[in-house]
Amino acid sequence: MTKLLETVDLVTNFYTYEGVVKALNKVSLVVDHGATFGLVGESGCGKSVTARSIMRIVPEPGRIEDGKVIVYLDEKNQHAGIDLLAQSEAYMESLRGDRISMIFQEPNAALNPTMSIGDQVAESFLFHQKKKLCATALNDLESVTCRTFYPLKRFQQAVYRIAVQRPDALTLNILGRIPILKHWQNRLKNEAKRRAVAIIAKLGLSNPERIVDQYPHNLSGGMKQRIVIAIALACSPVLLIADEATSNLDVTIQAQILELLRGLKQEGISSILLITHDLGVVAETCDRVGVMYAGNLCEVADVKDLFQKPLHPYTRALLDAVPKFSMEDDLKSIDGHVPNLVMPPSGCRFHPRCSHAMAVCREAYPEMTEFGQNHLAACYWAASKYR
Amino acid sequence: MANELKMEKILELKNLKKHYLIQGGVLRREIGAVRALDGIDLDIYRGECLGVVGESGCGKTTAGKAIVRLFKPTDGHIFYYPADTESKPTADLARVRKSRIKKLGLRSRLQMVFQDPTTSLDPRMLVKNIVAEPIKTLQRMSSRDLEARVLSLLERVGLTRDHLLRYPHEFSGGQRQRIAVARAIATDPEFIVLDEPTSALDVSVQSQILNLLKSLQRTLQLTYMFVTHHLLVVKYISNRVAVMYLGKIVELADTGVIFSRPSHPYTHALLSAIPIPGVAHQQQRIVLSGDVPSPADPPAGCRFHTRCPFAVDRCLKQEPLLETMETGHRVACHRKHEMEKLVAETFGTKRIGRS
Repeated sequence: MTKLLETVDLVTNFYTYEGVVKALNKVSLVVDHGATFGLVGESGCGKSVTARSIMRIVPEPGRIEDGKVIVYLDEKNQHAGIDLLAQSEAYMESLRGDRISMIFQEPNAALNPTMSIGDQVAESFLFHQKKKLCATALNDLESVTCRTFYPLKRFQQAVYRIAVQRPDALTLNILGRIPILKHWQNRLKNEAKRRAVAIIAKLGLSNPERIVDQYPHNLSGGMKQRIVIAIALACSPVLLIADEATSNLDVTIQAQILELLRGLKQEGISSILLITHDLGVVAETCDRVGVMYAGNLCEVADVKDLFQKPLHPYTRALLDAVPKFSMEDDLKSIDGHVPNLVMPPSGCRFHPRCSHAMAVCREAYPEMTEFGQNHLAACYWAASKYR
Repeated sequence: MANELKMEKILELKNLKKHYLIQGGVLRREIGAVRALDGIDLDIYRGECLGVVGESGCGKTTAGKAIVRLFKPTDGHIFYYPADTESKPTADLARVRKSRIKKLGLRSRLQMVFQDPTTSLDPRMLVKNIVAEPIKTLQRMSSRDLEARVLSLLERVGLTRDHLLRYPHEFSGGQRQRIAVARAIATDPEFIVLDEPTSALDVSVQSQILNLLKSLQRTLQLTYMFVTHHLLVVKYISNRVAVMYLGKIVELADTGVIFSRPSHPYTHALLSAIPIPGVAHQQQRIVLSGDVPSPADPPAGCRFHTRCPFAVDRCLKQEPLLETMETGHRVACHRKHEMEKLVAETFGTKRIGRS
């Protein structure tokens, strides 16, 4: 397997009035090409912050303090890793939604209520693939079937020729603002909309021509989530980050969306970083899983290993707390709650809730150690027992 | 145990309907209705926990709110049989005037816990006052007694004296839900509608709340109606399960029966849609296409036929009634007797959702 994304000792802090919230404490994870990596944990444990740090969209008082986010976009050239944290904002903008894209948690909040669905999906084509769109439009114009008023056609051809060469030329910017002349862009927008229809149809929504003219409030939750996925998939990303993509949906709709994601992966579209709190979703869709607790990654393993022999006490507790099909006795629960990260517990952050806590757990943070093949855990108790 | 529970009804819903009118035109005339509840018949027995499951928009919450009389049903009856029949007569909750409800002492007997504790607790009230409010409206009590009572309620749900003088925002989601439960049991109710009490919570906290609810049911002899969309939670906590689809009950049976021998295709689909937290299962899944149709314009015939993989001509024309298959197992489907075979033929016998 070749690496696609690697985070090295990622540290993100939030500077609030109450103090510094240490949301991520040296998170290191690796996502391979073609793999689905699941990130699980309770709310407030830093799953979403990890995703946002990777995309560099950590919201205000937050700051990425330290570490590296390295992407190897080219599968063959593994030396050419790019550290995203060292790149310019302009570079990130060209990357987000194009090579790396993200599905956000709440489709209601992720979609703009004042824009039609078609415009929202087309937006990413217009932003990232302007050159391609212009080339298609130019082809259309030059084909014999195109019957436009001749001087107008000449004008548009001239404009599109400039656009194909330099999509962000000043001339185009000016032409895009002059009242009558700006209509040259319509052809471009229509082309983007055509692609939007195609991608919406691909996601299994019926009647896409009608949907593109509708607004988010016209659609149901599952359909909205599909639109959000359509926007994320518009430019065929290499890495798709799904932040709780199915948590607010009904089980039947969730099954549809998971089936969809699985299908997309079989088409070889991308690796997926799936963030969820539902262990069932993880078991069904992921190849590899990372368990997070209070800003730390405490266990990383292949999905089979994690469910069959969990090592970290937190992973075990989490698995025990889930209601199952075959279950007779009482559900076990984890006492207490996730600590406040302004003053995280010393040493291992899980020790106040851990039934196996030892003296050393209070003092030092356990390092990630390897147990067996590709099975990593950060726990002194597991180390003393299983190594 | 099952027979013992069936002895005594606490609530009986008969042909309960709730239609929300759609008004339109210049004169704001009625041009249609959203049929949130379209005729449900349901008996709830004393001491049981009835799980109500279904997708969003199928009328689960509406049914719960109708029982607690947060609104007046359009049609039908809700008969309530109190424990002490001598002092309190049987009442039809659907017909009683709102002003009479408190006078008859019904409010204190029927309580509700809402879905999201962040919105169901007043952010400007202290926990002490939140829990005391339902007691104060129903009886006079000295403030010292009141505080002692509030404290005992809080202790019952696992909170302490330290939490009395705090505001809801100072608590985590699980603790807030505990406060909401304390408020619901403050008036000594015998029936509580739990409207998705754990869907806003994490798994580890969810199991805490579920265990709390279970132990409260035992100690206070409560009857629950547990509304949720999470089937495994229902399996854990309920004795009987009602599956709802588009304002109707499509299947009603003991929990064991629902999970081992489901007879409605919708129940089959719901069961197989649950993601299983384990890696041994690699079976086929029934994935329903499309969404729940609009309740303002439900499909003719069987309401499920638009998404049902086994629909035949009869399903398009004639609406199936909720008929008894065997004791306590009621299904609304024309092909209920052959469903087991049909599902096995189409999706194989080793499906997800079979325990």
